[in-house]
Amino acid sequence: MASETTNQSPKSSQEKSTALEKIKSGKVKMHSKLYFVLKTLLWAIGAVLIFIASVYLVNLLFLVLHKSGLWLLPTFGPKGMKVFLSNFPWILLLIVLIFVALLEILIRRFSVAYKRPMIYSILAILVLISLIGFLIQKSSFNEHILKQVEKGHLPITNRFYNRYGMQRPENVYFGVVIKINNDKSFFIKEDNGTLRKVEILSSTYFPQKINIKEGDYIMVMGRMINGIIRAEGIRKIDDLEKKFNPPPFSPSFLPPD
Amino acid sequence: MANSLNKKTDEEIVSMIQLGKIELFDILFERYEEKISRYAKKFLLDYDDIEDLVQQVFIKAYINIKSFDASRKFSSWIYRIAHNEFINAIRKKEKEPLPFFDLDALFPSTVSKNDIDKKIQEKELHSLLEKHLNKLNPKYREPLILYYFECLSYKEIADVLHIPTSTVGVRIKRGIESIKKTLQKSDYQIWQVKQPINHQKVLKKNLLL
Repeated sequence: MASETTNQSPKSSQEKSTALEKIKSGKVKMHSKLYFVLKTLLWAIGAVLIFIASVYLVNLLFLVLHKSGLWLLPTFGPKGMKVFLSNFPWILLLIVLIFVALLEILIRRFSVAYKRPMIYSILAILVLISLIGFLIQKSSFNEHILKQVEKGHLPITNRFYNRYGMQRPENVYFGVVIKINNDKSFFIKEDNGTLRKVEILSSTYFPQKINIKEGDYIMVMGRMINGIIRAEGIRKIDDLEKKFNPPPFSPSFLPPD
Repeated sequence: MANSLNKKTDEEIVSMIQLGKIELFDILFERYEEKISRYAKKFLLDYDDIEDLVQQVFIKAYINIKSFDASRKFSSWIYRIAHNEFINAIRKKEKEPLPFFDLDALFPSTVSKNDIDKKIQEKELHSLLEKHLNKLNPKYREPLILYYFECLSYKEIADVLHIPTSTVGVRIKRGIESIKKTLQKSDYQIWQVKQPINHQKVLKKNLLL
């Protein structure tokens, strides 16, 4: 080690003169305190904006799951799960994950984040934005926004909400049972007023083991053939689920078939 | 006056520089010049612009000195600047692989967060590391240099590399294991004939994390 230091001495003095000379000659100037305050402020604004955007997108994700009834599909077993996965808004989830990654990069500069395994801070961000997004979904915020969109007060977001918020998954119907027939079929009235005939098959799956009565609000998964829905799964929507999954938008608001 | 300044801590001197006594930057330069040069020479193996990079570290430290929080350790702060500078140099030269994302820091590890006992067989281990550092991946080479040559603690290394303390332990352990494998493959047997007991002891002690 000693010999190494001796060998380095001439070079070290040259380094010193060059670096220190640049400083002393005024060629290099230190940044002011204000520069760092503004930099930190800019960083904080960026982090807050990304956080708000993440919460909004998670809230939108919950909105789509609830409004479309997607979240109830896995109760119909493997077939329901298949429809759930094929209709899940994956792009929205991908954008949320990109935003979470950005947030992680931003908070990684703090010792509270980098001194712990990355998975902890990623999970903390995910839990936090999911919790806030869920609470917003439960509040009247979305209903208020949707009403504004419906009235055309928010023209830019109209397309966006139509794209993500209004669509029902394919082959899924919601409605009130209005008449039960003797031939293992019944009629439902959809939320937009359309009457549909539903046919119960031997393979129809009932996750709740219930008897369908007139007046029940139900969800039917099945293909429509010749105007009749051939039910692959039927389940009742109880009051609690209805609260989480309110009836969809008015017919005028639905995207064209 | 000079004597009293020499007794002051790095952080006290930085506070004085922040208040306008910029000439005191010389003292910090004196204190860290050799350390940063040694770190650079061991970390950046065959780079011809090491001296420029070392100068750049001090210039960046000077430019950003008002962002330093005097309640923290100055040594970790300047080593962090040096780390960033050297990593950028490695990326620029593309001589060695340097992953953008590392799984080491993603999940918690079971390796001890406590420092390895460095006092045992330090000389032997130093010569062993010096000989084989160039065979290591930069991500293992760097914590070994900071720990064995720069005498930083796990906590300080964690602050320099911005990784969890346990990950520092993992990397040091894997670095030593990697050297052990290299020794077993190549000149370990020759070495063993000359100094069999010391060499084995060093490796065993350091692998028992």
